[in-house]
Order: sequence, then structure tokens, then C-alpha cells
Amino acid sequence: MTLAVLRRWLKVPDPTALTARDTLQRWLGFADVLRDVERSEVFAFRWEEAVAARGILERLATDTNLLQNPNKHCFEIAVGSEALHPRGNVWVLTHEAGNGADIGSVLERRRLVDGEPPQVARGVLWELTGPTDRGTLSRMAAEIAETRERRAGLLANPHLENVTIFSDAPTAMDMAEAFVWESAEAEELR
Amino acid sequence: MKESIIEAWPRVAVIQLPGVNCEYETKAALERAELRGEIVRWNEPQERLDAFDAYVLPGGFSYEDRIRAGAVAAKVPGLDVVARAAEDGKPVLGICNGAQVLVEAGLVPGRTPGEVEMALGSNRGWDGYYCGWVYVKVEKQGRETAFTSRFEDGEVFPVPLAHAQGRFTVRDPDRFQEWAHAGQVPLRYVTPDGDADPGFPDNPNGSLLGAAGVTNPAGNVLAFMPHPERGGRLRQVPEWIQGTWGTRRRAAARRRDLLDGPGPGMKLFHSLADYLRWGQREARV
Repeated sequence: MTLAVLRRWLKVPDPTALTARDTLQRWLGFADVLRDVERSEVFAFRWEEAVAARGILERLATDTNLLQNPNKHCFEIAVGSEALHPRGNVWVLTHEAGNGADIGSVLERRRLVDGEPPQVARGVLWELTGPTDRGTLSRMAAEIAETRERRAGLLANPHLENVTIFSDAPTAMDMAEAFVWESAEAEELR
Repeated sequence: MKESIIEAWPRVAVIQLPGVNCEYETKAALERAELRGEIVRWNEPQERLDAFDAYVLPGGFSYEDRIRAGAVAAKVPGLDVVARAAEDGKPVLGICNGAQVLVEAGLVPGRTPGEVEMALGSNRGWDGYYCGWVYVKVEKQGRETAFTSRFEDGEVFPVPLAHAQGRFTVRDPDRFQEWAHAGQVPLRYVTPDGDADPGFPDNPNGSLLGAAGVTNPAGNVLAFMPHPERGGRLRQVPEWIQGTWGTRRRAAARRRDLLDGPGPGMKLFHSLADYLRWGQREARV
């Protein structure tokens, strides 16, 4: 099996991340602990066999408009145990089951990859900059991650999305394993 | 109309969050139901917001749907007033984006007020934004709400709709079934003939049980995804619409007096007006 991730982020300040930061600082009581919020989109790929994933993703990223727009985005690719390099010091991945299946079907329909096409999952990586104390940092991320009450939590609605919190910068494998890969079920949900 | 008469109408705040775009149509629909709609900015002082008899969160794209539709607006301090009003029994109507705000604010289904018990997910059956007319059936389950008294139980009416995230969903679908049994899902997508559980496009987003509108247990808060204010005049109904509204619309062709008459969405606003003037009617089973 091969797991790989392409992470893309805006070249300009991300307005959604700025709105999230303002909401958390001004209205949800995180002004003293949360210093910044940034955001990137992640696409995780899973092949059942061993493939040269980096080359395939580099080609898809540069030769097609499927994964990134060079006028808008920067991107990085990590394969297997290679680390990603998001900003911040704690990270929240939010994703909805089945998101990314549309990209998988485009890869298949347009025959953009040789051999068996990969399964694709898609999510948002929230990059939070907070205190250096690990305990406070983890508590802050957990409180911010899911909206459970009107005045608590923000980034994901637990009735719709899944959440994974990373205390260390995730590798491609960490990130890919956080997604729901039961593709048949995800397809059915769509 | 005389200003003194309008002054006596119940006052309804149409809350203008940044990014909404249906506030003027909503105000106009309220006024046709003889309600004094006033557009009020979300950050007005609380005492000004407190002074209304009812609240409408209109459609649009509050905070540009950033993070999730309705997610940021649900956190603004002005929503405290709306939440308090809902608990006090004042009517609160969320239309489209307003419905998304009410769900994210935990006011609907409101079993535990303030707790987020549900979500509005991306449309299924149609990838992305869907815009069209749908048919909605009133299912009273022996219970009246602040927004349905003018409808007959089982009545089917056409209404416009436009959204990308309108699928009522919950982690445990059995809970949604319980709310439906309790009469909290009084408005559901159906076929033009009134058949339940339709697929796309009659159920345009894959909502659980074909839910188009969900209320709180008391029935004074309604999250409704379609746009009744866009069906407020008969002239807004397309001629191809099926059922009695289509017949009425075709018969009214080139008759300005008839075309300016009430459209199918007005019953919702008239129900609200009745509720504000005379309180809750007895449920008609």
C-alpha cells in the first residue's frame, strides 16, 4: 500500500482562517491563548500497491488543474513517513466522509494515472498557533475543534465531520490514516 | 396605508448579518402579512434587539459561509438576544442561511437549547449549489407551530429553493426519527402529488426524511431551507408548476390584479401574523 498527501495553501492571507481566528479570539474567549490560525487543504491518496507516488502527484499538480492552481496556491507533497510542514504548533484535521471521491472519479474517468487509480480523501487542516505548554495547547485545540454548543467549539460540526488533532507535525501516513477509507460506504453516502 | 395602523402591527426584526441578501424581500413579505418588518443590523445594542415581537434570520451568505454555512453567525453576541427570545416563546424563523445559523446555534431542534444537535450538510444528488422550485408537504402530526396554522394538514405547496448545504443530518438518524414523531419536522419535500421520500430533484439535497423545515419542541422556532418570501406573490410562481398553484397562476396570466395576489409562501407569514396577534391556535388533527 502507498499513502501520500498533497497539502495546498493560499499565497495570500486566507480570509477563512482570519475569520476563524477573529471568531475564536473575540467571541469564544481564546484571545489570551490563541495567537494565530492558518489553514490548508489536504488531499490524501491511497494506492493498494506500491507506486512512485511523489512523481504521480507532482505531475498531477503541475500538468492538470485538479489539485492546485499555480496562481493561487503553494503546495507540498509528502509520501509515507515523510513529514508535512504546516505552520502553527497544533493541528486540527476536519473532514467529511466521502469528500474527495469526486477527484478519484475524475482521475479514473480521464485516465490521469496509470494502473489502478488511487482512492482520494479530502479535508481541511487548521494550523493553530498557541501557547508552548503542551497541556494547554492540547486543551485549546480540543475545545476549538468541534462545535458542541453555541458558545463552544467552531471548526467542525460533529454531526457532519470527523476531527483528528495532531500534537506533532503529521507525516503523510498519520494524515492519510485519519481519513475514512471505506470507499464503498463513502460512495453510497454520496 | 396610515402610519398609525402600521405602528400597531407586531414588530418583527429581520436581522441583517454581514453577507445576507434576502432581507428586503423578507421585510416585504412580512409587510404583506401586516407585520411591521424592520431590518436591524446584527450588532445593534441588545436593548434595541430585545424590543421585537419576533425575529427572522433571512437568507444569503452570512460571513461568506466561511468555515461552514452559519457557523460564524451562530457565535455572534447578537444571537444571544435571539436565543433568549426563543426560550421565552417568541417566534424565530430562519430562512435558508438563517436556518443554517439556527442549526449551528443549537436553537433547532432545541431539545437541549444551545447544544448543537444536528448539521446541514452539502447537497446530495446534485453536486454543489442547487436552485429551483420544490414541493413541500405540511405534516402537522397533531401539533400546531407558529408558522403552519394557515396550512391544512397534508397540504402540498410549491416554494423556491437555492442552496448548496441544505441536507438536514444527524450522527444518529434514530434521533431525527424521534423528533419527526414528536412533530418537529412539519415541512417535508415531496413529489408534486405529495408522495413522501422522493429522490432528487423532489428532495433536492438528500435531507433525512425529506426534511425541509425543522422546529424546536415548542414550535416557535423554525429552520426552513426553502425561500417562502420568494413565493410571496402569485406572479412569482412559474406557469409550469403542478397542482392548484399552477392552475391559479395560469388562470391569472396578464391579470395584474390577480398576479399581485398572495403566492404560496405567504401562508407561512400569515400564520406568523396570526400567532403574534392571537397566540397559538388549537392543533387541528
